[in-house]
Amino acid sequence: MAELKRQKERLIALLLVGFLALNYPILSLFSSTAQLFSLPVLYVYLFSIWVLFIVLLAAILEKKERAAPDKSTLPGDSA
Amino acid sequence: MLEGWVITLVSLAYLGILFAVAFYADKRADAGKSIISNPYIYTLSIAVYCTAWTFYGSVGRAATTGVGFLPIYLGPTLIAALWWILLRKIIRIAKVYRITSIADFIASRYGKSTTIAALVTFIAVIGTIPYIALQLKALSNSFNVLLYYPDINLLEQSRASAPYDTALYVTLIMAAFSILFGTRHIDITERHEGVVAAIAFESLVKLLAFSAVGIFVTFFLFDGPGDLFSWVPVYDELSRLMEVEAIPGEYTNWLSLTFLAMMAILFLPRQFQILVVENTNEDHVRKASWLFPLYLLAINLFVLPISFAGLLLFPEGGVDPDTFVLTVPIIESQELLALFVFIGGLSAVTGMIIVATIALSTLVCNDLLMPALLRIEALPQENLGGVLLGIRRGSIVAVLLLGYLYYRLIGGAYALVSIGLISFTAAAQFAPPLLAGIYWKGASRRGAISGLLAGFIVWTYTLLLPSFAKAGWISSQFVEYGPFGIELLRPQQLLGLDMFDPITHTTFWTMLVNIGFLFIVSIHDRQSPMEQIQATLFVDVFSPLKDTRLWSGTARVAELKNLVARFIGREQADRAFEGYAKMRGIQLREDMEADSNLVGFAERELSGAIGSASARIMVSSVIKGEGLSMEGVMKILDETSQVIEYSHQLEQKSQELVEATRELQEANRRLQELDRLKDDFVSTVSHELRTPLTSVRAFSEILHDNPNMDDGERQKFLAIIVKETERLTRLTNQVLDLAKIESGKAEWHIEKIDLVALIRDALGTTSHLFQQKSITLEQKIPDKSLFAMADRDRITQVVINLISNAVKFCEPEEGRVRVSLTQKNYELQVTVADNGPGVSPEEHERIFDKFHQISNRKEGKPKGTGLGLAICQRIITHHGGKIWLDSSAGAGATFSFTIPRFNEEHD
Repeated sequence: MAELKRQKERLIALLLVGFLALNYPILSLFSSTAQLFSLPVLYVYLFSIWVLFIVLLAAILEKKERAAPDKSTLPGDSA
Repeated sequence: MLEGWVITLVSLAYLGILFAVAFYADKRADAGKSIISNPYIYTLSIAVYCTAWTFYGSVGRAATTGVGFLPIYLGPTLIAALWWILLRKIIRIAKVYRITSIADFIASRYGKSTTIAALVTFIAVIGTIPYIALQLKALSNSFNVLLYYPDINLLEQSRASAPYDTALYVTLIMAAFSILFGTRHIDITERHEGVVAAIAFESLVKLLAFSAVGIFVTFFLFDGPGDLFSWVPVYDELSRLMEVEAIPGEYTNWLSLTFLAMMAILFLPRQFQILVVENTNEDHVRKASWLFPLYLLAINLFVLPISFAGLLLFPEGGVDPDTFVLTVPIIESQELLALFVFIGGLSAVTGMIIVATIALSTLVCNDLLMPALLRIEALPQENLGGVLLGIRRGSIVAVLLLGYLYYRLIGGAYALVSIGLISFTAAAQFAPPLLAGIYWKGASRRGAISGLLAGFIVWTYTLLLPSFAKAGWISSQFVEYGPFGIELLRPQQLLGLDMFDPITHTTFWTMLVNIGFLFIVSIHDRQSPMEQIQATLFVDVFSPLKDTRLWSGTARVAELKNLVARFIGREQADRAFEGYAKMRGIQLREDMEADSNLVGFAERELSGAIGSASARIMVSSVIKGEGLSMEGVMKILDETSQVIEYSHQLEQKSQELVEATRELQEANRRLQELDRLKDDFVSTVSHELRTPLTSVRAFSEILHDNPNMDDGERQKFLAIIVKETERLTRLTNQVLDLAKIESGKAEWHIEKIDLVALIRDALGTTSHLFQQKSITLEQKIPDKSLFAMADRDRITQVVINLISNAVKFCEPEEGRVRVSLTQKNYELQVTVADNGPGVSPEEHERIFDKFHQISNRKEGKPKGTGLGLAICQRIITHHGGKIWLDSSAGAGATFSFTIPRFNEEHD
């Protein structure tokens, strides 16, 4: 139960962080014609955040499945 | 340049493949081996979100706004983080209460209101029409491009001569296709496994097609992304696109599009259909939550490269950026690739149109037309399944034709994405009543209606009407100067708010009035009981609360079955009822009265076919009695709680009753015992009195009849008479004594007495008895005084009684009597032991009964009155002590009694 609540909190936190990262004013920091690795910096930033968001989301959601059978990992988990 | 018949043939072949996929999936589903019941197919089916808008429109939007196409995909990505919480709850509610559409969901939450169902349906239909127009426009455009390009003259010519012909054919083909696909039969769950499988297949095709163009452009046309983007700084208009400032409305537009997309992914009718209604397992949401954003990322990866390539290849303009996906391969003479892209676009279009029309036709049928038809009772009695199918097919055609009309009206004036956003803003209107509905019990029906209505009116005024005006269908004066020249009412600068782009402007105002009305009306409203019940059921769906739909009145099983059969067919109804009977382990006979569980079951089955509001009306039509009035429900609820209370009380009462009965029986038993004892007593006393009286009388008669009797003889007879009368007196005294003690009328003189002195006196009094029978007396009496509070005469009476009893039962010469007095903690114990015949254990209790006399003795005649020990026991008990006997036959008897010791400190 506590683990489920923790998961919910993480999901909401992820949404908030993602929302902030993908909006004004943080977004405006990358709104420039400059290039990174010969790619437009805004393009690189948006897709990097996107990938990161998906990875974190998958990690949060799939974690329980892996942790559930092995109860011994739970205490270290909350640290 | 491709021949028209080739394109048509390939398109039809592709649609044929779709049918095959759907057919296969349906067959597998019927065999119980669903191919769609896994998170991957579920994810791909959700990608029906990516329509022609994504496939063609994104590139077009990127060509004018740079990254401005992205919020539409970032919004769903962000909200996907909450799917596991939010979407799962919606799915659970829909599954538990057999909800089959978004209108059904919202109506059901607000007390199964047919008004809300109709309102939501209306908004959904009106809101979806621009979206369908977008698909028709994209498809007919792509067909024309493929047919005539690169001969721009021919393209222009075809536009000029028969501008909308292609679109009309496309519309008609799509209508036929959707009807064949989505409305083959009425399913009680409204789930379409075949359709979902086909949609998933299409999602795969459109992703592959789009990626193919992307890869071709990036890696074959250019030398990788680095090469492609190295051209950006060369052109000012390209590098300008790499800033957010390229988007009209900039960051506010970005924010409002993100918000709209967050809502649209959940609340567009077709998304609701796929996400909620077609979901086979809640747990699939877990994987879909991150796989779907991954799909979005993949399909958007090449948007900017294709768009920039298009801009670089057609620097002078003249080509609609919305067609870059097609024109870029064509200009490079990649005809097969172009054909594949066209098929990808066709996938995107058909996917959207199939699901949207199925969802809308369900809405129109279940939530708009059925309730109306039911109210006016204009339905045939039999074979309603046919009527349902007819209504659905009709609504599919109607919706598509409306889409076509809208396209003809404004199609030329807007880019694809701008048309789509009109629909998104409409779908967002469902968010407040739905979200508030599943988390806030206080949200009321009137609140939801007023919020929806206000939001819809503002949407129509600020977005839909201006789109008509822009197309020249109504005067553009209205947009520029406001109605009747009232500047404050200008639809896209309402109340003078002119800092936003039109979409942000509409989003702001509609959400403000929608949420505002919902909350303000709700908090001033009183919910009906039905609303309260539904609100609780929805908000607390995860807590173990049972369905409380209550029906009063009765119906027969056959009537219910017939009703269900009218909508879903006889065979399906039979199967459903059999399944129900098996599940509950009962036998259903046709003539049985249906209990409320079965009625609820029938209602849920019907809900699947015709929506919850209609199902309620239908079921109430066969329920005899009042069907279901809300007062009835509340009364039943009240009564139920009262009955529970009563039965609780009853249980308590019956418990008490059992207890009382037991006590009464006990009392009765004691009474009977007492009665018997009284009878015994009277007869015993009479008997005891008669014996001495008889001898007194006999001897008196002898004396009377023989006056000449010699003195010795006379003296002997007189002695007997005296002795017998003494015995009579003693007996009478004892009877009186006992009666006095038992009735509580005896007088007690309680004082401080020395028990040692008392026992010595008693032994002195009885010493002649010992001498007479030469019995040995042993004394174990302390020297110092031991005091007790007692009645001296009564205790003396007890001691003497015990001593004389002991002497009485001892054999002369060898008899031994031992009298002892010991001191215990709070009491003094007197023991009188003899070595007489003893008393058998079974007589230990009864020996203290009245008139009980030891029977098996050598002499036939009893030696006492049988009252002595009874009196002793009562005296001792009165003093708060106890008296008992330790003995066994042949081993002598030991009588002991205790009385409380006198407490020195007290004095």
